[in-house]
Amino acid sequence: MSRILVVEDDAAIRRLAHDLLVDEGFEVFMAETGQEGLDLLPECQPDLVLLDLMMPTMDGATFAREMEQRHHALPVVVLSGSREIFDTAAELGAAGAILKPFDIDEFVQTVRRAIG
Amino acid sequence: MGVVMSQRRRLFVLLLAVTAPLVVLAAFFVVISVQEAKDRARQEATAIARAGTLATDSFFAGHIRTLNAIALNMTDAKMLSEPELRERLLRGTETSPEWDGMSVAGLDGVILAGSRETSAGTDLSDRSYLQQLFATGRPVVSEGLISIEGDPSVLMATPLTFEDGTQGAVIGQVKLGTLSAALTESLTLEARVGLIDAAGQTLIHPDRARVAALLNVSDRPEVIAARAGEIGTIEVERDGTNLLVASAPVSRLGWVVTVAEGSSAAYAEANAIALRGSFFVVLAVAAVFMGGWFLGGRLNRSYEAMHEAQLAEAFARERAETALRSRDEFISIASHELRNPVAAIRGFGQLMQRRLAKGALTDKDLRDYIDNIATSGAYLSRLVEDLLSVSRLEGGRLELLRQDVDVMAVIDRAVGEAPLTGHPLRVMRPDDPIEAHVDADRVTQILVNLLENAAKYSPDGSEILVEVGLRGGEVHVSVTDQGIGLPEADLARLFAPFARAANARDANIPGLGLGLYVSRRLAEAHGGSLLAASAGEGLGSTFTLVLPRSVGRQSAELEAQKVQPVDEPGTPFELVERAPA
Repeated sequence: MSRILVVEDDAAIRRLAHDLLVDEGFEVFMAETGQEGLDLLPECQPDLVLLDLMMPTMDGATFAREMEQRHHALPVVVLSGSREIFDTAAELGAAGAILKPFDIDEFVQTVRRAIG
Repeated sequence: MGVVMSQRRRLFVLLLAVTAPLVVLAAFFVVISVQEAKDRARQEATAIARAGTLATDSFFAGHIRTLNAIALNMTDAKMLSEPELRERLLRGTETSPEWDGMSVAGLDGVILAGSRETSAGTDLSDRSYLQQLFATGRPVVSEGLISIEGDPSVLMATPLTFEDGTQGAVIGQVKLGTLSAALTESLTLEARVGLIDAAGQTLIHPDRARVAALLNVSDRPEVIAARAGEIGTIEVERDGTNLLVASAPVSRLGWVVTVAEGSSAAYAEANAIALRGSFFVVLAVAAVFMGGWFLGGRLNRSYEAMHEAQLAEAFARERAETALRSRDEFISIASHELRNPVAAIRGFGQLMQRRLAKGALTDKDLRDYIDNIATSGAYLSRLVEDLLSVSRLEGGRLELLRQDVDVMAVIDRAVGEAPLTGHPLRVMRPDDPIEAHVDADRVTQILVNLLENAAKYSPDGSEILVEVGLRGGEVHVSVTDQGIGLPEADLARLFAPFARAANARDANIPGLGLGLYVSRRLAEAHGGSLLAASAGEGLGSTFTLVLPRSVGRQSAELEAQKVQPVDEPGTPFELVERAPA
């Protein structure tokens, strides 16, 4: 069973992502901030990170660079309400990008493609 | 202004540097001119004195020549009778009206005959001038004599050799009236000429009393100097008056001619030059500095204008940049803040459909999903309301629909609309109802914002306190929480659009940063205000809405009131919201 770490500051979106991914049969871990996500990495050993780009204190891009430095070369799917998401995704070498608001089928497909 | 003032000061220093040497030069020329004028005055006085000595000299020389001629005609005097001799002497006196008598004396000094009958037999042997004549064999002039009328005269004597070879003398008395007139006539102005004889007695002087008294002035410095052969001027103070005195010696005689003039009169030209010179120097300096002052003022103004223009330009640029930055920031924040609740509503809706279709929707999930949709929807509607309010405020299109409303009813409505989940609320209200002439919807919007903030920025379970009261003619509604408080540094910018307190961002609390901005603008549109207070970070906050009291209108008359747009820095742009008319 593939594991997914969801790093998202908005509680509703976090819950939505959790339920959607659980329905797809993934094991889902959740973090409210980037720092919390980094702290969870060694414990949950995810196969993919679903990452919100716009978060206070530590944004998604910073989280991704930090994660790389800690030798967790993981596929990342970025999530954002900004249209710049696709540029940022390319910069970060993200495996997928989801623009809010999203269709849940597209959401699931993007994650599935990314996890391979 | 420090910079600006120094422009005028700088110009003054420059003018001072330029004019100071010129002023010194001008002053130097003035001094030179004054000196020259004084020299001229001294030379003039000296020239008059010298002319006086020449006149005196020739006066005496002329009369001595006459006496010499008469003496040559008197060699036979001893042969003649006294009347015959008197007759001849009388003819001698006719040579000039100035002769006041003549006589012939023998070596013993006794007069043989005189033009006056009484003269014969008078012994003059004790007279010093006669002794001098016999000793030197040269013509002499006596010291001055003054008649009873006060007219000065002198005696002149010239040697005479009789046919028998003995020595004698011809003596003549000369009145100095014409000499006096000649000396005085040569003068102008107030100069006083004096003729002082060898004994130091004043013989000629405008002051006749001096002459009558034969005033002895031999001890005066100008007389001493002239007797020593000097020709020149000295300045002395006499009887409280400063005098310029020129003096010159009359050749051989030991007489002195003096010309005295009051310094102020003598130096009138010099003083005039000094006065004019000083006046022009002062005038020039004053003109330069007045010019400098006005020029400096104009420079100052143009500099200020330039400075202000630069400042205005910099300010405008800053504003434009801030606006651009704010707009970018707004777009990214608004995208995030608006898209999150939309994503939640759409996502949960779809998720419910899917789980329903599978028959896998539990009651608990359903409740959670509906709660999430409702919460997101409410949040979204408040955001949209705030955004539209901003748009209307910026465009000056916000209209207040004022009515006399019960403030407590408005508070109750706001409490009902605000998301206060998990926070006990305490409302302290006065016993009597409070009416205010306000737009109930807008005041509700303000209070919902304040209540939502109070709940959002304070820990779950902490109490929120609402206090309502009347102060003066104003209604005060304050909302106090026990939350994260306000950093002092953020108090000032808290009410700017899209501004959020640093600790609010750090605490991961969502928000557009529009609520307080909109709320304050709405309060101000009512003629009221919105105030923030906090004891510091972590110590809670109090926001107080101040509204003017009801103005006692009879009916609940509808009143449309335009809100003027406020030109406020930091306003990012106008959100366009055009409702079809």
